[in-house]
Amino acid sequence: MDPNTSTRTWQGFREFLPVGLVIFSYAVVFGILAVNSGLGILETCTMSLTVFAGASQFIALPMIQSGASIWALTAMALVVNMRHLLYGLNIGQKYSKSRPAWLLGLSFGIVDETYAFNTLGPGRNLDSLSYFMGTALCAYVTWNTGTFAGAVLGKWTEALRIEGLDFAMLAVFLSMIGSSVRTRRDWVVLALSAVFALGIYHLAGGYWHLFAAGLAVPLAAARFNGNRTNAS
Amino acid sequence: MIAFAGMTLVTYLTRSLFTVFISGVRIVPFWSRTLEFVPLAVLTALVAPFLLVPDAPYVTILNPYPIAGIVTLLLAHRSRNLLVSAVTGTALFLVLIRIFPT
Repeated sequence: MDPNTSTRTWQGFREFLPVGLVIFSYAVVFGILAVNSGLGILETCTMSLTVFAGASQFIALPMIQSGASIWALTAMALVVNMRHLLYGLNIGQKYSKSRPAWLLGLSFGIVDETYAFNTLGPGRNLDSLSYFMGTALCAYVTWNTGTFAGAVLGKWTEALRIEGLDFAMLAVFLSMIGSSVRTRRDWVVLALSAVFALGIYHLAGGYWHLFAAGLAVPLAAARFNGNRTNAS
Repeated sequence: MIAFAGMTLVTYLTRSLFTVFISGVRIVPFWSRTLEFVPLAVLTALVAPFLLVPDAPYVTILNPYPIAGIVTLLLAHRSRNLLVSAVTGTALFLVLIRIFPT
C-alpha cells in the first residue's frame, strides 16, 4: 500500500466521476426497467448491491419475468461475465505487489468501466491499489444510487428514455481506447481486434468475440513485435 | 432474492479467480507482452459490434453510430482528454440522429 491511502482513494474516486455520471444514468434506466419487470424496490437494490454487473443484470430482467430458475440465471451470469477472467489477468499482474487479501476485495470492483479506466484510461500509469479502489467505489456508489433513484422513479413512470445514452457509454469506452493508442502497432491491434471481433460476433453471437479477439490479437502482437510500452 | 445468490457468486468468481491467482505467478516475458495488448484488444472487441452492427433501424451502413464513434476515437487520440472527446462525440451523435434517415 502507498503511504497516503485515503488521498489516493479520493483521487481515484474524483477522477472517475465523469464515468460515474454515465454509470448513474444507466443505473436509473436499470432501476426503472427492473420495477417495471415486476421486481420490488428492495429486490432491485439488492441485485445491484450484490451482483454489481450491468449487462447481466439487464439480461436477468426478462428472464425473471418469464419465471427463470436460479440455475438459468446463474448460468447466464457466468457466460455473460466470463470476460472478467481476461480482466483479472491484467489487474492481477498490475497489482501483483499487493497482498492476496486486498486483491480479493479489489476483485469485487472489477467492472468494464474500472478495468478500462485503469488499463487504458487516466489510471493506466498509476499502479496504486488505493487509486483503483477509489474508482471502484465511485462506480459502486453511482450504480447503486442510480438503481435506487430509478426504482423509485419507475414506481410511477412507465419508461423514461434518455436520448443518446447508449452512445454516451460507447463514447466513454472509445475515449479511453483512443487516448491509449500511441504507436502504429496499437492502431494495427485496434483494427485487427475490431475486424476479428465483428467476424466472430457475426458467426457465433453472444460474447465469444471478446475471448477470440482479446486473446488471439494480443498473442499475434506479442509474437511479431516487442514491448507495447517501449515501442516507437 | 435468493435467485441473485448464484449470479453474485459466479460473477465474483470470474472477477477474483485470475486476479488473485496470477498476482503470485511470475510469468515469462512473452506472456507479459501478450497481456499488455489485452486491454486494447478486448475493449475494442467490446465496442465494435455496438458501433458497426447497430440495431437501430437505419437504412444506410453509414449511420450515426460508426460516424460519431470514429470521430470520438480520433478526438480522444488527439486531445487525450476523456471528458472533451466523450461529450463532443455524444453531442455529435445527438445531431446526427436528427439528420440521418431511419
